[in-house]
Amino acid sequence: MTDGIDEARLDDALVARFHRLQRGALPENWGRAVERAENLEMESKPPRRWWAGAAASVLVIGGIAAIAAMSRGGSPFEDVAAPASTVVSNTNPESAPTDPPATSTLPIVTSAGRGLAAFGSAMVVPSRATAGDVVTVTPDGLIQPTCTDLGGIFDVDGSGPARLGVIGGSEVWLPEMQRPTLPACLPPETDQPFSYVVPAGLGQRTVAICRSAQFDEAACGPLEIVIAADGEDAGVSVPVVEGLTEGEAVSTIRLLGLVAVIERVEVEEGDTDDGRVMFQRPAAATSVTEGDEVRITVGQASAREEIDS
Amino acid sequence: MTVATSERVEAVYRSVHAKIWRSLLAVSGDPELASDAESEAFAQALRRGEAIDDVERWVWKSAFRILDGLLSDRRRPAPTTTHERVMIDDVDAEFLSMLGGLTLQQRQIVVLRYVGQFNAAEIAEVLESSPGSVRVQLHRAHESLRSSMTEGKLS
Repeated sequence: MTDGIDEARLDDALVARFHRLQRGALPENWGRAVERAENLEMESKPPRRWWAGAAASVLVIGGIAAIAAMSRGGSPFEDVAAPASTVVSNTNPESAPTDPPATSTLPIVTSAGRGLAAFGSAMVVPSRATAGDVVTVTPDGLIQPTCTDLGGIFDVDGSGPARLGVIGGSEVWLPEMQRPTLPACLPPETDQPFSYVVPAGLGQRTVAICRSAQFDEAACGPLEIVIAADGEDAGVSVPVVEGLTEGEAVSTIRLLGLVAVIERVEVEEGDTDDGRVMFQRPAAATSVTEGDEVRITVGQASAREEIDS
Repeated sequence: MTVATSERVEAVYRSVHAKIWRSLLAVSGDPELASDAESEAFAQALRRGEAIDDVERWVWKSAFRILDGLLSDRRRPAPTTTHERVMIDDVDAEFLSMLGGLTLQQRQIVVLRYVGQFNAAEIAEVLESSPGSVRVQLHRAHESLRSSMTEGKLS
């Protein structure tokens, strides 16, 4: 534990070390900024070349083809060569996209997490799946699952390339998963469903929809999809409840067959943590079994709040 | 880029350069990356000119986002231009190394708190997070740093 080092001493030590750091050397970067700005100015005015019109025509034709593919119910990705390093073709016939989905192992469960109001939610069918299942995600119109540099689906477990979707103009997806049938460019906020096929041998994964281009706990949620490998009992994945109100957290925990144990810490009157879950144990995405406890720490007015003092 | 824009952005640079650069240094542990992120943020501010209402806030936010990108790009080529080299002494290097034990987000929050002297709401704005999340992460960062102190890494 950390006996003997109280908050004030820690704060003093950090202030002193940062103060020392701020007395160190300091480079002059204004000239670099100006030079870079001038370069950006020049880069934004490229000379017009003969092939520019031809390239534009190709893009227009490509766009029309993409729209046509979407209208046929297919994906414009089908005709797009993705980077070889990120493509893993699925050769397992059991998980081919044309196969009928296997029986869902559990009813639909979407667990609400932090940022519900800000980031929206999504319906996932099924919430647990085995190899060959088609998992369909239907956003509620508030999340940004694809397109632009603000969207993506992230593998919370963090093993290997984690993104699934279109991020910053590049197609990236979990290597074990098949190419998702995502529309080429969803609007920033969408309610269009998209789906993918769960391959064999995936193991248990938790996938979350995030707003950020990089996986960021704070920007993720509220969705968790637990995918179990063939024949495995995935157990229960602890939901993200930090940031939720006590009531929301307890109902979310109970919905998954877990037991909520509440601890309270004092916060200032009017603090945004008042009535909300500040910490949880075990951490989100931890696999537990039904009936296990999830301990949550809920802020309760009124105590001095450390950061805004 | 107009003269007025240049003067306006430079005035902000002169007032916050030290804080921003040292914040970026503390987050990245790399003087070169800190300079790259800072100069790129100010260059972008110069380009956008009058379209930015609050240059200082915009630059804080942009510099941290740019640094995020630089840190995540492990294949980043070596700089093609040479510029002023900054030496970090052993004591500061040890401190930066200790901060390196935090997650990126915790490091950003600690730095914005202690160098930028921002409150939770302001940190949340820079990092596009929520004040509640900032508090939680700061608490965790403190726990981690306290543990480092206990082990004698910070005196």
